[in-house]
Amino acid sequence: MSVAFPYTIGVKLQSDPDVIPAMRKFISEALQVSGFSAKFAFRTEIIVDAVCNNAIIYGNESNADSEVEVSCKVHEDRVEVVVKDRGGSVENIERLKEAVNCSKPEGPLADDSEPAGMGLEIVKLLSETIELDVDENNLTSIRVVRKREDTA
Amino acid sequence: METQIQLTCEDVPGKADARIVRFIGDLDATNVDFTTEKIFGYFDEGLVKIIADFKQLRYVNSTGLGVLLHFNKSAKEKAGCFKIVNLNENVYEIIEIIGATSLLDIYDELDEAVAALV
Repeated sequence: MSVAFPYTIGVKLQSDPDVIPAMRKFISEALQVSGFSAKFAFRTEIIVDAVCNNAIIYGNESNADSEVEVSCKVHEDRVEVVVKDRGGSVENIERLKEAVNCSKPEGPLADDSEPAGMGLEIVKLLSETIELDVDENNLTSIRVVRKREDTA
Repeated sequence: METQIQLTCEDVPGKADARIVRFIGDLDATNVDFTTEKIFGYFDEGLVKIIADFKQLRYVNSTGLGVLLHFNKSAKEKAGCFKIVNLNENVYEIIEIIGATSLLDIYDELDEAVAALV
Protein backbone atom coordinates (compact mmCIF):
# COMPACT_ATOMS: atom_id res chain seq x y z
CA MET A 1 0.00 0.00 0.00
CA SER A 2 1.38 3.44 -0.88
CA VAL A 3 0.92 6.26 1.61
CA ALA A 4 0.77 9.92 0.65
CA PHE A 5 2.82 11.96 3.10
CA PRO A 6 2.20 14.05 5.05
CA TYR A 7 -1.13 13.10 6.55
CA THR A 8 -2.70 14.02 9.86
CA ILE A 9 -4.60 12.00 12.42
CA GLY A 10 -6.69 14.36 14.53
CA VAL A 11 -9.00 13.50 17.38
CA LYS A 12 -10.75 15.23 20.28
CA LEU A 13 -10.79 13.12 23.42
CA GLN A 14 -12.96 13.28 26.47
CA SER A 15 -10.75 13.93 29.51
CA ASP A 16 -10.83 10.35 30.66
CA PRO A 17 -7.56 8.36 30.82
CA ASP A 18 -9.47 5.24 29.79
CA VAL A 19 -9.85 6.58 26.25
CA ILE A 20 -6.09 6.90 25.72
CA PRO A 21 -5.16 3.24 25.01
CA ALA A 22 -7.38 2.91 21.94
CA MET A 23 -6.15 6.22 20.53
CA ARG A 24 -2.45 5.57 21.11
CA LYS A 25 -2.74 2.09 19.58
CA PHE A 26 -4.51 3.51 16.54
CA ILE A 27 -1.64 5.93 15.97
CA SER A 28 0.89 3.14 16.47
CA GLU A 29 -0.89 0.93 13.92
CA ALA A 30 -1.14 3.80 11.44
CA LEU A 31 2.59 4.40 11.68
CA GLN A 32 3.38 0.76 11.01
CA VAL A 33 1.04 0.70 8.03
CA SER A 34 2.89 3.80 6.81
CA GLY A 35 6.20 1.97 6.81
CA PHE A 36 7.61 3.01 10.17
CA SER A 37 9.26 0.29 12.22
CA ALA A 38 7.53 -1.45 15.10
CA LYS A 39 10.10 0.09 17.43
CA PHE A 40 9.37 3.60 16.12
CA ALA A 41 5.63 2.99 16.50
CA PHE A 42 6.08 1.64 20.03
CA ARG A 43 8.13 4.63 21.12
CA THR A 44 5.68 7.06 19.53
CA GLU A 45 2.91 5.25 21.37
CA ILE A 46 4.72 5.93 24.63
CA ILE A 47 5.09 9.62 23.73
CA VAL A 48 1.40 9.98 22.85
CA ASP A 49 0.42 8.13 26.02
CA ALA A 50 2.56 10.29 28.31
CA VAL A 51 1.58 13.64 26.80
CA CYS A 52 -2.13 12.75 26.76
CA ASN A 53 -2.09 11.50 30.34
CA ASN A 54 -0.38 14.71 31.38
CA ALA A 55 -3.00 16.78 29.54
CA ILE A 56 -5.93 14.94 31.08
CA ILE A 57 -4.67 14.62 34.63
CA TYR A 58 -2.96 17.99 35.02
CA GLY A 59 -4.08 20.19 32.13
CA ASN A 60 -7.78 19.42 32.39
CA GLU A 61 -7.52 18.26 36.01
CA SER A 62 -9.44 15.10 35.04
CA ASN A 63 -12.56 17.16 34.31
CA ALA A 64 -14.47 14.81 32.02
CA ASP A 65 -16.46 17.73 30.56
CA SER A 66 -13.38 19.22 28.97
CA GLU A 67 -11.55 17.87 25.95
CA VAL A 68 -8.02 17.15 24.86
CA GLU A 69 -7.16 17.68 21.21
CA VAL A 70 -4.61 15.30 19.75
CA SER A 71 -3.01 15.77 16.37
CA CYS A 72 -0.43 13.47 14.85
CA LYS A 73 1.08 14.69 11.59
CA VAL A 74 2.94 11.91 9.85
CA HIS A 75 5.73 12.90 7.47
CA GLU A 76 7.90 10.48 5.55
CA ASP A 77 10.82 11.15 7.89
CA ARG A 78 9.20 12.22 11.15
CA VAL A 79 6.09 12.45 13.27
CA GLU A 80 4.78 15.58 14.96
CA VAL A 81 2.47 15.04 17.91
CA VAL A 82 0.53 18.04 19.22
CA VAL A 83 -1.67 17.77 22.32
CA LYS A 84 -3.80 20.70 23.51
CA ASP A 85 -5.55 21.05 26.85
CA ARG A 86 -7.07 23.74 29.03
CA GLY A 87 -3.88 24.32 30.98
CA GLY A 88 -5.09 23.65 34.49
CA SER A 89 -3.89 25.63 37.48
CA VAL A 90 -1.14 28.23 37.46
CA GLU A 91 0.94 25.77 39.47
CA ASN A 92 0.44 23.12 36.81
CA ILE A 93 1.48 25.42 34.01
CA GLU A 94 4.61 26.42 35.90
CA ARG A 95 5.39 22.76 36.58
CA LEU A 96 4.90 21.97 32.93
CA LYS A 97 7.15 24.83 31.79
CA GLU A 98 9.85 23.63 34.12
CA ALA A 99 9.50 20.01 32.96
CA VAL A 100 9.59 20.92 29.26
CA ASN A 101 12.28 23.55 29.39
CA CYS A 102 14.86 21.76 31.51
CA SER A 103 17.55 19.89 29.62
CA LYS A 104 17.28 16.22 28.72
CA PRO A 105 18.11 13.97 31.64
CA GLU A 106 21.60 12.51 31.41
CA GLY A 107 21.62 10.01 34.23
CA PRO A 108 19.11 7.27 35.01
CA LEU A 109 15.54 8.53 35.41
CA ALA A 110 14.48 5.75 37.66
CA ASP A 111 15.24 5.08 41.24
CA ASP A 112 13.53 2.68 43.55
CA SER A 113 11.96 5.38 45.70
CA GLU A 114 10.04 7.36 43.11
CA PRO A 115 7.25 5.45 41.43
CA ALA A 116 5.78 8.34 39.44
CA GLY A 117 6.64 11.42 37.44
CA MET A 118 8.75 10.01 34.63
CA GLY A 119 6.33 10.60 31.77
CA LEU A 120 7.59 13.86 30.27
CA GLU A 121 11.18 12.92 31.03
CA ILE A 122 10.77 9.79 28.94
CA VAL A 123 9.17 11.86 26.18
CA LYS A 124 12.26 14.07 26.11
CA LEU A 125 14.53 11.06 25.82
CA LEU A 126 12.48 9.59 22.97
CA SER A 127 12.01 12.77 20.93
CA GLU A 128 14.02 15.26 18.92
CA THR A 129 12.19 18.31 20.25
CA ILE A 130 9.48 19.12 22.76
CA GLU A 131 7.92 22.57 22.85
CA LEU A 132 5.30 24.13 25.06
CA ASP A 133 2.98 26.97 24.08
CA VAL A 134 0.62 28.66 26.55
CA ASP A 135 -1.78 31.26 25.14
CA GLU A 136 -3.34 34.25 26.91
CA ASN A 137 -6.22 32.07 28.15
CA ASN A 138 -3.83 29.47 29.55
CA LEU A 139 -4.75 26.98 26.84
CA THR A 140 -1.72 24.74 26.63
CA SER A 141 -0.20 22.99 23.65
CA ILE A 142 2.69 20.55 23.69
CA ARG A 143 4.39 19.71 20.39
CA VAL A 144 6.73 16.75 20.16
CA VAL A 145 8.76 15.78 17.11
CA ARG A 146 10.28 12.36 16.63
CA LYS A 147 12.40 11.51 13.60
CA ARG A 148 12.45 8.18 11.84
CA GLU A 149 15.59 6.40 13.01
CA ASP A 150 16.87 5.30 9.65
CA THR A 151 16.84 8.86 8.29
CA ALA A 152 17.98 10.63 11.48
CA MET B 1 -13.66 0.95 30.17
CA GLU B 2 -12.37 -2.56 30.70
CA THR B 3 -8.81 -2.88 31.89
CA GLN B 4 -6.41 -4.05 29.21
CA ILE B 5 -4.36 -6.35 31.36
CA GLN B 6 -4.91 -9.83 32.69
CA LEU B 7 -2.88 -11.37 35.47
CA THR B 8 -2.83 -15.11 35.91
CA CYS B 9 -1.07 -16.86 38.75
CA GLU B 10 0.48 -20.26 39.27
CA ASP B 11 2.41 -22.00 42.01
CA VAL B 12 6.14 -22.60 41.99
CA PRO B 13 6.72 -26.23 42.99
CA GLY B 14 8.58 -26.44 46.30
CA LYS B 15 8.32 -22.72 46.99
CA ALA B 16 5.35 -21.99 49.20
CA ASP B 17 6.04 -18.26 49.35
CA ALA B 18 6.51 -17.80 45.60
CA ARG B 19 4.17 -17.36 42.65
CA ILE B 20 4.56 -16.95 38.91
CA VAL B 21 2.34 -14.10 37.73
CA ARG B 22 1.79 -13.87 33.99
CA PHE B 23 1.06 -10.37 32.66
CA ILE B 24 -1.08 -10.38 29.52
CA GLY B 25 -1.84 -7.16 27.63
CA ASP B 26 -0.70 -3.60 28.28
CA LEU B 27 0.39 -2.12 31.63
CA ASP B 28 -0.54 1.54 31.76
CA ALA B 29 -2.29 4.23 33.76
CA THR B 30 -5.70 2.64 33.22
CA ASN B 31 -4.81 -0.55 35.08
CA VAL B 32 -1.96 0.17 37.50
CA ASP B 33 -4.42 0.33 40.40
CA PHE B 34 -5.83 -3.10 39.50
CA THR B 35 -2.32 -4.50 39.07
CA THR B 36 -1.07 -2.98 42.32
CA GLU B 37 -4.04 -4.38 44.21
CA LYS B 38 -3.32 -7.86 42.83
CA ILE B 39 0.41 -7.85 43.54
CA PHE B 40 0.05 -6.36 47.01
CA GLY B 41 -2.70 -8.89 47.63
CA TYR B 42 -0.12 -11.63 47.03
CA PHE B 43 2.35 -9.87 49.33
CA ASP B 44 -0.32 -9.67 52.04
CA GLU B 45 -0.88 -13.43 51.72
CA GLY B 46 2.82 -13.99 52.38
CA LEU B 47 3.60 -14.61 48.71
CA VAL B 48 6.53 -12.24 48.70
CA LYS B 49 8.56 -13.92 45.96
CA ILE B 50 6.97 -13.02 42.64
CA ILE B 51 8.19 -14.01 39.21
CA ALA B 52 6.52 -11.73 36.72
CA ASP B 53 6.33 -13.40 33.31
CA PHE B 54 6.11 -10.68 30.65
CA LYS B 55 5.99 -13.00 27.63
CA GLN B 56 2.55 -11.70 26.70
CA LEU B 57 3.00 -8.15 28.00
CA ARG B 58 3.00 -5.99 24.88
CA TYR B 59 3.41 -2.50 26.34
CA VAL B 60 4.42 -0.62 29.48
CA ASN B 61 4.14 3.16 29.85
CA SER B 62 5.85 5.43 32.37
CA THR B 63 3.20 4.82 35.00
CA GLY B 64 3.62 1.08 34.57
CA LEU B 65 7.38 1.36 34.85
CA GLY B 66 6.90 3.25 38.08
CA VAL B 67 4.79 0.53 39.64
CA LEU B 68 7.26 -2.17 38.60
CA LEU B 69 9.94 -0.30 40.54
CA HIS B 70 7.50 0.01 43.42
CA PHE B 71 6.80 -3.75 43.42
CA ASN B 72 10.51 -4.48 43.35
CA LYS B 73 11.21 -2.22 46.31
CA SER B 74 8.22 -3.44 48.32
CA ALA B 75 9.07 -7.11 47.78
CA LYS B 76 12.62 -6.55 48.99
CA GLU B 77 11.32 -4.74 52.07
CA LYS B 78 9.33 -7.88 52.84
CA ALA B 79 12.41 -10.09 52.40
CA GLY B 80 11.05 -11.25 49.06
CA CYS B 81 11.76 -10.48 45.43
CA PHE B 82 10.10 -9.35 42.22
CA LYS B 83 11.81 -11.04 39.29
CA ILE B 84 10.93 -10.26 35.69
CA VAL B 85 11.29 -12.74 32.81
CA ASN B 86 10.57 -12.93 29.08
CA LEU B 87 10.62 -9.19 28.38
CA ASN B 88 9.94 -8.25 24.79
CA GLU B 89 12.54 -6.10 23.06
CA ASN B 90 10.51 -2.87 23.08
CA VAL B 91 9.67 -3.07 26.76
CA TYR B 92 13.25 -3.96 27.66
CA GLU B 93 14.54 -0.95 25.75
CA ILE B 94 12.24 1.44 27.61
CA ILE B 95 13.43 0.01 30.91
CA GLU B 96 16.98 0.47 29.64
CA ILE B 97 16.32 4.06 28.54
CA ILE B 98 15.14 5.08 32.01
CA GLY B 99 18.15 3.38 33.55
CA ALA B 100 16.22 0.76 35.47
CA THR B 101 17.84 -2.45 34.20
CA SER B 102 20.17 -2.44 37.19
CA LEU B 103 17.32 -1.75 39.61
CA LEU B 104 15.04 -4.52 38.41
CA ASP B 105 15.75 -8.22 38.68
CA ILE B 106 15.54 -9.30 35.02
CA TYR B 107 16.04 -12.80 33.60
CA ASP B 108 15.83 -14.13 30.06
CA GLU B 109 14.06 -17.37 30.90
CA LEU B 110 11.53 -18.49 33.47
CA ASP B 111 13.71 -21.44 34.53
CA GLU B 112 16.57 -19.09 35.40
CA ALA B 113 14.34 -16.95 37.59
CA VAL B 114 12.90 -19.98 39.37
CA ALA B 115 16.39 -21.37 39.97
CA ALA B 116 17.45 -18.03 41.45
CA LEU B 117 14.75 -18.13 44.12
CA VAL B 118 16.20 -18.69 47.58
